[in-house]
Amino acid sequence: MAAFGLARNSCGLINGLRVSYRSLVQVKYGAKSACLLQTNIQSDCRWYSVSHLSVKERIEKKRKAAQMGGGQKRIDAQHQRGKLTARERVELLLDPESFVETDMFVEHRCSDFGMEQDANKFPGDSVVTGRGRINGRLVYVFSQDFTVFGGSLSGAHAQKICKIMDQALTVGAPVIGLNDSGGARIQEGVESLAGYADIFLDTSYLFITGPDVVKSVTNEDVTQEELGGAKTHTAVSGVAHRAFENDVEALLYLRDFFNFLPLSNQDPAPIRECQDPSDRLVKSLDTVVPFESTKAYDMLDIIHAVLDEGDFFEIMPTYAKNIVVGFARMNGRTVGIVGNQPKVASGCLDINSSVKGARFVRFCDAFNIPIITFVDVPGFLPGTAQEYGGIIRHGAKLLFAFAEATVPKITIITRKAYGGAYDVMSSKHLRGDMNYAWPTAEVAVMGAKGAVQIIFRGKENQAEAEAEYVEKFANPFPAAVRGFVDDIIEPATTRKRICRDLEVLASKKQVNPWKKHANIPL
Amino acid sequence: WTFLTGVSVTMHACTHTHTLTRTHAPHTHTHCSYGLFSSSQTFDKILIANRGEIACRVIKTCKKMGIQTVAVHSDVDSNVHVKMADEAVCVGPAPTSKSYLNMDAIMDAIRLTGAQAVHPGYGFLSENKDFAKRLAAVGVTFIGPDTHAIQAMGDKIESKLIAKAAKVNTIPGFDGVVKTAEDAVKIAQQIGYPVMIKASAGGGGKGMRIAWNDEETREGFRFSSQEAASSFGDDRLLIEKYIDNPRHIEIQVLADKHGNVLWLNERECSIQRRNQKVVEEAPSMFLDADTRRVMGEQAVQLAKAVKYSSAGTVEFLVDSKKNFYFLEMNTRLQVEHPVTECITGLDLVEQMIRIAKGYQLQQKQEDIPINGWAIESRVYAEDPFKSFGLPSIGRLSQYQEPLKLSHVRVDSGIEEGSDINIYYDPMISKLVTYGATRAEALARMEDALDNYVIRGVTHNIPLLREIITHPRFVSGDISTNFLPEVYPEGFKGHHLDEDRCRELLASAAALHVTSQLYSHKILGTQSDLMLCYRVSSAPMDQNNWELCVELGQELHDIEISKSGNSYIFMNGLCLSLQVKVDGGQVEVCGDWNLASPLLPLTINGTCRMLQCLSKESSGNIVLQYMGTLFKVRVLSKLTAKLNSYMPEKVSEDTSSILRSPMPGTVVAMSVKPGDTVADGQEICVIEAMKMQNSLTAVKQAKVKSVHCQPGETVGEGDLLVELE
Repeated sequence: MAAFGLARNSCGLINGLRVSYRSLVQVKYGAKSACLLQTNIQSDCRWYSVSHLSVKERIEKKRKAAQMGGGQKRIDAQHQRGKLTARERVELLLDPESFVETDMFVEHRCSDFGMEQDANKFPGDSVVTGRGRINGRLVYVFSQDFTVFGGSLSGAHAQKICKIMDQALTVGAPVIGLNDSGGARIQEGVESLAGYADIFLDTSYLFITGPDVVKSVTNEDVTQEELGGAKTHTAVSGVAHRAFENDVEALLYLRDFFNFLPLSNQDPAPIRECQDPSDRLVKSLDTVVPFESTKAYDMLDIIHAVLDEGDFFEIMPTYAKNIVVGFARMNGRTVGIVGNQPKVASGCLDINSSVKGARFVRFCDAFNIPIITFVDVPGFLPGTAQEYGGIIRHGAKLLFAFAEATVPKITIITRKAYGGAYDVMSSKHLRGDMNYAWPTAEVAVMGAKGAVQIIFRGKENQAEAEAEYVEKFANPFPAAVRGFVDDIIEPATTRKRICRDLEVLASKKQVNPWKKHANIPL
Repeated sequence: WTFLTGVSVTMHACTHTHTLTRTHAPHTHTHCSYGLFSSSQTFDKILIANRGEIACRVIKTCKKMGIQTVAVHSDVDSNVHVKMADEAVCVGPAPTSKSYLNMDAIMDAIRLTGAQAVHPGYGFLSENKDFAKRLAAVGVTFIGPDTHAIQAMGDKIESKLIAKAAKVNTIPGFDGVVKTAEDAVKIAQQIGYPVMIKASAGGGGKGMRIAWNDEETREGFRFSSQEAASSFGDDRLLIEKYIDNPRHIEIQVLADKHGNVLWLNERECSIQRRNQKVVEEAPSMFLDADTRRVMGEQAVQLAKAVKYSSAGTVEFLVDSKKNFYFLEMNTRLQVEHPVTECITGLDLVEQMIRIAKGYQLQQKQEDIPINGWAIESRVYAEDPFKSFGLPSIGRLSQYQEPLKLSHVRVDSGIEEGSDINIYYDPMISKLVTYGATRAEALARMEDALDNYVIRGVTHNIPLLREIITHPRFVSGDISTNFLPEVYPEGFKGHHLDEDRCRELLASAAALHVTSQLYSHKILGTQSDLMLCYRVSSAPMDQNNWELCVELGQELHDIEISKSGNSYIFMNGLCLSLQVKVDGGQVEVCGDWNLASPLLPLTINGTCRMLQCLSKESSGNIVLQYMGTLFKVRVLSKLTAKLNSYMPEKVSEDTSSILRSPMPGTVVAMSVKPGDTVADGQEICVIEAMKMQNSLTAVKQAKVKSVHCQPGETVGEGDLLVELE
């Protein structure tokens, strides 16, 4: 099952959500669409099983019908909603002419509520499945067809998806799911099935229970968009990992994203030919950290400057913005980037950013993607909201994830690395392979002011003591003399150092002690 | 080593990529050797009381002359000049009045470092007689004219009187206190309309009014006298003939302390915006040898009349009939001095230092040549689409000067990673090109501008490139009104004609195809032989592409096919593509390196340097072509078809509302209602977790309302400031 899980995860990162198709609202919706279909389809297309046609002709007919999904009217309606059809999505996602479809002739097997009529049978049912290539690399795809019973899930539908998942597992290839479904088909008592959903701005909604149910249970007034729109899930709930303007943009970005990932968790991180010199000096990094240590700067400036071609695929860019995570390449090799963002909430770690970081680190570790961590963290966010919310438990997730990861781990401390947050951020103590400090680094228990207030509580000449503390600890030496950082490096050489280390660490082998599974503090 | 080669080293100014491959002017004058100059003992240590490119420029020459240098800087400005100097002293906080104009601090720095002389550069204290006096009092040499000349030329009325007495052509007019509006009208009538009225003590176009009749004169008198009294505390007025459509041409002079004065030919500085020069050149196309000589001689007479020593500039207005009138004299090194250096082969800073030490000039007037042609473009961090240039600020995330090209000199004081902030002049550099002829110099300028990589701030290269390629400029038909005349509606960027448009579309499409090919270049790892056997990856054997490119509102169908050989180098892909666009055929060849900001292409056999600013997965590409940025979107034909089903993007205007991005305390509010903020300017500072976060404007706008005060605690999403 390892490869299976992998396949799901590899798309899960962008698609993010496992939906349990069990809600009342969705059931209601499914019923509605079924009624509609019964009336419309019968009159529109009378193509079903006709005995005077030869087998060959019938094959052709069925194929043609499958291409049309729920019929032109429904396709037009889908377009009017600003959405693409299942087939259009597949065509856009995959390399031209690479799609090999499976189960085009599968039909649903429901015989209740008039569903057994031929008019209510659609070849392929409400999902398109098969395999194809993205930039030449193998991928399995399923794409739910909203034009057929609202993309609702039937037994046949689920079976089709399971089939390609099983195939993907046997060859070690990923599965991408393009979800567009109203939910379970009411006419069938379907087993619930885990799925994945892409989420598109303004046209997509995800919720366990819809606004009507929310209103009746908790008396909250909420719109579809507020409850489960793209903004909610990318900025508030963290359920979706990225939102895009529309279907086309999402699929184009997905193609590029796919290039960062290995085909399976048994494959090494992919290496793309690199035109950006691995020994390129990045002069602008020498001045990126401001003189005043309280002044903010944009960690993305550093990240973009260091990477191959400045190409950074950020994950969850609008959620917990005090931590930045995403994929990039160093000398052609895919790497995962984790960085504190001093621009937002001073780059502190809080519940959401810890969870966001932890999930990403585990993803990288699962798929053999080296992790590069940029540290400028003033500490964990204090306060009752955080403590009551369980910051200790959630912060531990990030710590656990870094500690557990056996992929190459390179850490660069750009400025602050204070207290417990320092430890958490892929420190030497969590088996960091190479840990560097910039000359601006300050590895300490806390900021000078706070420290002095505690050490010299109630005493005079605090300013003097503060200056002494700064002199002693607000620099990279205390950490360097203890070997907590391997070297103090000129910022301009950061790219060169990382690329060189990654080459060496490519053969890194580290095995965690055997256990049934790790016990991350969930 | 001829003298000239020596200069060419100096001219490298302040970059850190020292490739000594430029400005080898074909000068045959070898009047004196480099060695001879440096053998003359001048000073051991010079303090440069300035910043930025001019500080770097002076330090360069000092280094060449074996002189130790001291830089001064404010506490936010430890830029290139600080790194270049042997010593550096911080003279105060960011505002210039507290640092670079802070005489006490600079005098302390001199004492501290034991500098024997001070080079003031331009601006700041360069024409401040009190500063020169204070230096003299402690026995430190001021590298510039003596206080008498500074004072005499610093006052518009006095300088004009002296000029008149020295038989220099002056603009007919009146100077002194004008009592009433009717007096002003009388004077104006005597001079003849149009007239210009301005405050005697003002400068830089401030308080200047032009009157074409009696009524306007009365009005002008009222405004200017008020302004004179309030702004300058000096109610004298100047009424003089207004020269319509004038050229601004200036003569560089060089004088020693022994009464020898030379004129080093002219500089044409007519291309200006808001009375600030943008493009300068030497010599001027407009002057004939006789006019040049007469102007030069008059400039020398003026310098002699005030016992001038050091380098100075006499500015003239020249009308269409080559009548010239004295405007003012600048008693300092000018920003645009490099063009004079290029055509005369002299190092003006070196000359200034020698003169300050008391040496006699080594040249005679007949030794001063006009060799070739030099053009200077002032590259500014500003948005030329707004009144020909409103300052922009930011961090130079990427910066590459076009120094690989020959005959290019770049004087700059910044480097990659430098911050361009609100405290100082937003000039990025002075880009100077040189050629045997004007056409050659212009062609090189075009190349240099195309090869100049500036990212992180908005810059005026689009405008500069349009100016130097404009037919009127090329033919020499220019005046100080050039910009408003040529762009009456404001600057709008390069207008693409049909051919250029096709080239741009073809380039964008070719870039898209190249990056698609590149996306397929995933390498299998050697250790994993398994991968090679598994059908994990198929090669891309596509040779034809059907694309759709969106430029502005228009969609263009494009067909691309590989033509001839394409081969892959270690660093990039050499690819030749046949592009069919709008019925025309374009061939695009390039050694495509997608990591480089520069995109050198051969389009239909012509070499063109494009720049790629961004390329997104969504197909959006921003290209710099002919100096201007163009946004295009390249999609496959299928994608374009499907894209037409997508709803139009409705962009929400969040640019005029500033909300607090986090809970915190407002520590500073930098604006008040009615203020105008620039794009990127700080609006307020929020402190959260002992960290100060500066919130900036995302567009230039007027502040409508402010909803918080310093010291106030705000929550996330709280409205702070509204812009109009």
